[in-house]
Amino acid sequence: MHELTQEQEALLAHKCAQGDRIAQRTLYELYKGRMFGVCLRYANNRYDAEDLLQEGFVKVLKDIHQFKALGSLEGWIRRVIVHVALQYIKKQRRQSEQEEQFARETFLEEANTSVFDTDENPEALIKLMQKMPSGFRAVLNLYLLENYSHQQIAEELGISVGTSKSQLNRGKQYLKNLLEKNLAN
Amino acid sequence: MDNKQHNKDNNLEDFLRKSFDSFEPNPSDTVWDKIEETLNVPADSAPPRISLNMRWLIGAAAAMLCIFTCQQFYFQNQISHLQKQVEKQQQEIKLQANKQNSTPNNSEAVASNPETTANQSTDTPGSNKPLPDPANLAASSPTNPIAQQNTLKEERSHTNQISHPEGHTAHGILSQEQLVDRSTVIQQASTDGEFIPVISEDKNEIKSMESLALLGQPFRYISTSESRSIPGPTTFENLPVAPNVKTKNWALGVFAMPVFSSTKVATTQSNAPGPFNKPSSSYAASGNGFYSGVLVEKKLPHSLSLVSGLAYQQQTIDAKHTTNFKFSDRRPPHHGGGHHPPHQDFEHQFDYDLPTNTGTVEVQVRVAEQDSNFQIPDSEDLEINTYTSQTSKSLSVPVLLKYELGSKKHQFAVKSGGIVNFLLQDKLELNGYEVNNPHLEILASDPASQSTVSRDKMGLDLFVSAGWQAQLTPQLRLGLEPSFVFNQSQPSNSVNVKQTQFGLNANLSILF
Repeated sequence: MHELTQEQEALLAHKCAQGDRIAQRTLYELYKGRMFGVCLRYANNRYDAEDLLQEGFVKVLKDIHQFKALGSLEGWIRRVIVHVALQYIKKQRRQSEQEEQFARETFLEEANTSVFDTDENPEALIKLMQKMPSGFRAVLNLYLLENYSHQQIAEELGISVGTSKSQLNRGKQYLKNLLEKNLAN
Repeated sequence: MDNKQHNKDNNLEDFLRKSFDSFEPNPSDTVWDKIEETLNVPADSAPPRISLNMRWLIGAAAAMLCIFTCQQFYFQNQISHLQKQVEKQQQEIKLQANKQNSTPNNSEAVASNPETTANQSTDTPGSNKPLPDPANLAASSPTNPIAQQNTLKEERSHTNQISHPEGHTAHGILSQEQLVDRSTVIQQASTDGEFIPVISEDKNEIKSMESLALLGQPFRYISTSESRSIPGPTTFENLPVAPNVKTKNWALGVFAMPVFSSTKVATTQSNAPGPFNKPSSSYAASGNGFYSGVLVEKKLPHSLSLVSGLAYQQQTIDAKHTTNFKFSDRRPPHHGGGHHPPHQDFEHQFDYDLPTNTGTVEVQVRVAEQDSNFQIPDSEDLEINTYTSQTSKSLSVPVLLKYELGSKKHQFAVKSGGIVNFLLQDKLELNGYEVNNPHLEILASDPASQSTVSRDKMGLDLFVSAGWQAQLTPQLRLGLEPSFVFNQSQPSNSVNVKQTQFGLNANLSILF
């Protein structure tokens, strides 16, 4: 991906805010890969991830006038995308507990056979993460990959700080057990 | 040991970061197309939402327009039909007059009509003299020379003969349509200076004329005011005879009106203080009912009537209230005393004010977590649907103004005014609840408690109807009128209710 200077980012954001369709397309092409990777980590499958990407970029392009160029454009876009993804996670939580349980069991079964390749194949790791319970997945993503604090996670997900810490530990344990099992094999 | 654990954690973090650091998968090409499509839709392109009341009003206006158009079409046809009849009768009259002029003994035909004979000797242009005594008229001779001299009166006699369905020579038994035809003839005759119309409001004179009716049918003069209310040429008021349908000033009738209603409830103070939550909520209600009662109608000038009466109305309204909560709005359930078991940690209670069209209802609903192993976040959204059924009974006093137009047999009537309602009974029942959240369920063993704030005992509805009336007999009238009833009330400080009812009013009246 080509890195833009701060001036270029500001100019691109300004043109996007003016409704310049070429600039908007440029912005999408520049960041679609990384943002799609983010979406895949939060979504249950590729289709949901594409929906998240679409919804996220619509929000980005509608709200881009709020971008103040104090930080990086990519960071701002990522926050918007993560916000949209968290809304998705909240909706997912309304699914029945049985589905969550089914997802956990499936995850364990498939993890035993596919975790070998995860260091070389992030898509395989993504597939495994997609089968984790949405609560674990969200906290793990936010804390380990988005550098959110537990306080921020608690605010975003509407849970207590203690719950955030607890879910992070359980999520980590979940993954570690899988990895250790596979390493032992 | 701790260091080892820490290292493991870091390894996991590093492993994940490393895996996803340069991970840039490609989404499908359709994503941008969808984004572009969404961006192309302007924010304000959504069709403007028309409120329910506005829809009712548009529907009412369309119905009124339709009825007016049909009515107009009907009258146009009637007028063209009458015009044709007038032309035909004019030709016949002319032919008859020519025949009479050419017949030497035409005095016999004239003498057969005693009224004609009687009037001839005294009438002068523009006079309003009373008619002679019927006894004298009866004694009139067929050979009366005055009668023989007045051919115009003869024409008039023939006019009646042509018009009468049974061919008799009596006057005053013309239908209204025939009357209109005849008025045109008279108008033409008057213009030519051949005919002297007789006008009288004198009841004695009318009585004497009635005694002349050979078939025993009523016969009277039309008053000037009455003649104006009958559609037809402006010279109609000069007509010396009247339609045989008497003007009825009063009507007493019964009516029944099934109605369908739509209710909209809005809360005006969402953050009003109080022990209960006032969360955002929506309300969808539909109902049905009926009005029935008696109506009294008094005719006023200018085709207007005043309508009043007494009616009984009953309505049932089924509603679904959707109230939105966050899980943090919960509180521990009350112990509830005697038959309620002590609550568990996974049981919660939601208290809320339910705005209804009978007032605010304070509701307490208990729910239980389905899986106590899952910790529901405080920000979790949930909806509680509350189903209510309201039955109300009222006595109503309508005060309406009616305008009608049309022929004697069919009229188009518009009524408008107010209905004063006196509430007899107002009962609201909470029929059921459901919670829209996969982690929660309603505690079936704990029905919600409620307390109701009653609405005012007296209210005012606005009423509009437009419809058709048919004269079944001279004394009996049937009406079918699509009707709208609208009311707005504020059963409590924070609740504003708008209700629209649509019904079909069927009424049967006796005229006297």
